[in-house]
Amino acid sequence: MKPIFAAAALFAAAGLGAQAGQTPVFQETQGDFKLFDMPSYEAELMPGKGWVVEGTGSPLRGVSPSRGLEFSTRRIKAEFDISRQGLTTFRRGEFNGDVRVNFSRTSGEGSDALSLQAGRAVVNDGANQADISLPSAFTFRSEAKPGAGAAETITGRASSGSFVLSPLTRPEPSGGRLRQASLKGGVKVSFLRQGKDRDSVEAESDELTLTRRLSQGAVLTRIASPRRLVLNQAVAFAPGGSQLRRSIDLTAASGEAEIESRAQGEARIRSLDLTGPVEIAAESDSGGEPKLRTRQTVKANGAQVTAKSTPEGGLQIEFTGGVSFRYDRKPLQEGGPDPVGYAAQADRLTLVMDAQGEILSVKAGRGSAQTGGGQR
Amino acid sequence: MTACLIAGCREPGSGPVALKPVEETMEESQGEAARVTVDEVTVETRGEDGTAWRLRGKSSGIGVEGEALQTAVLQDVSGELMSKGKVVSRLQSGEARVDQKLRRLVLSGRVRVQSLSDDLVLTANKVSYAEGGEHIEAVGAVSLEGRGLRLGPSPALLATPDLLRIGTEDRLR
Repeated sequence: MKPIFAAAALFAAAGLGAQAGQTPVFQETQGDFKLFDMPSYEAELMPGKGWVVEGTGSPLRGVSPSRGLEFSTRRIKAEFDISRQGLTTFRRGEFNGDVRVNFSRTSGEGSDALSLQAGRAVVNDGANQADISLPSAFTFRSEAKPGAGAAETITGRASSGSFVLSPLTRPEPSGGRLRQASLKGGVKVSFLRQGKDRDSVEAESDELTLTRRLSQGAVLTRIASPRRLVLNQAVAFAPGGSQLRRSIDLTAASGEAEIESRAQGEARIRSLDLTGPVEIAAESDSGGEPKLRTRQTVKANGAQVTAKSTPEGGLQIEFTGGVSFRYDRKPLQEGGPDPVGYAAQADRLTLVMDAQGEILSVKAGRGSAQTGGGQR
Repeated sequence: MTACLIAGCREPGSGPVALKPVEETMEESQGEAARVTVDEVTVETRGEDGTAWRLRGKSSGIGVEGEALQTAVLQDVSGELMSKGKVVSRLQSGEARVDQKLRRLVLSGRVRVQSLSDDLVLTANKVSYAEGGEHIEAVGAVSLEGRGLRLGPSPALLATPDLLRIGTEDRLR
């Protein structure tokens, strides 16, 4: 795990709430929003509106189990609406200084959580959605477990951004809390699915929008960027196995990708729509007898790339509008099959991979090719 | 026996000073304020904007100088805090001390201040208020409850007399 994400993981694991038995400085009388460790504060009842509570601490801490909310920060400004029955509704919170916020939910169906670490965060909870605005640099970690099986983890960082969640108090299917993230400036996002094998997809750009939805036990995340986008997909197979390598590295001027995370432990690119110039480097090791194992490498440059899932669960990548590429296959052990390699230019290129990321076929359209013995 | 004591405005000579103890016991010595004891008393202090507070107690110790009320000590107190002639909160406490020279009211012993318009209740061990001041000062296990929220207990808090704004001293001073 890389350092930036290690910090986020540690923060997520640490409890932000108050110690058991600690008396809150502030609490709802009929709800469970509570503030602790806030030696300096003020509260004002705004006629016709509601309560505005401001305070500072080093840090102060807050919890609201019914909202799945837990946080610590140095300064807070929280606003509450009041119903005619005297019930309070948390409407808005401004958090400043060493902000750490956890949004989490656990039910019999599974769990999900979003943890944020930022200098400043503004949370608005509405009837249909909750919005989080992060005007300065932050890191985040989202964990979703919509059902039995492996958890999906998304970690990331950006210079600024915003998130859309389901309303804090409204029950949602587990795994569905995070709906959308808009991230700007030095964005790096990693999708990790830790099952038997370790699947990961990383995306880098200066601007990314993530849109998530649940579909038949899978979490589908659409990544969209109007700017240069780098995607890396890799599979690290379980120790003791065949230690196969499967990876795809993509760079595009702009585009979209859909990442699917399945309960079986897969985090895979399921579709692509990239505009050029687009570069792809795909590499996969074949299985089978050790002496027969080979490593295939495809490197291609083109103007336009689309990709879609195959009926078997693999991925079919299509270059159109002209492509230059190089294909190499080389043995992984001495005495293996002879190496093969060729470079070509074509009007189109089709690359088919199976569900585990192994390159099954490389088909070029009309063009010219140079063949060679490849490189050991 | 019942007495009604009305203390005058801050400006010397600018308002009425009425002291009407009836059938009380009065001890007076030359050059010192008189001490008056009555069974029931109403103390009303007027400021520039009208009455600042009105207190009722079942027993009291009252200091007078000439015809002016100087101090009053009331037990089992109920009363009102007022602003611009209107009641903004109701008061209850075990004891109240009014210092007319300092224009200051100090309530102690299970103090309860209830806002009139919003049903907010402040409780504390001691509450003091200076006539014309922006805030009441509450100390000792200070809590505010009402309109869906509860603040405290805190060692000390300031609040506006209508309790619509409350907080620690560093924020409200």
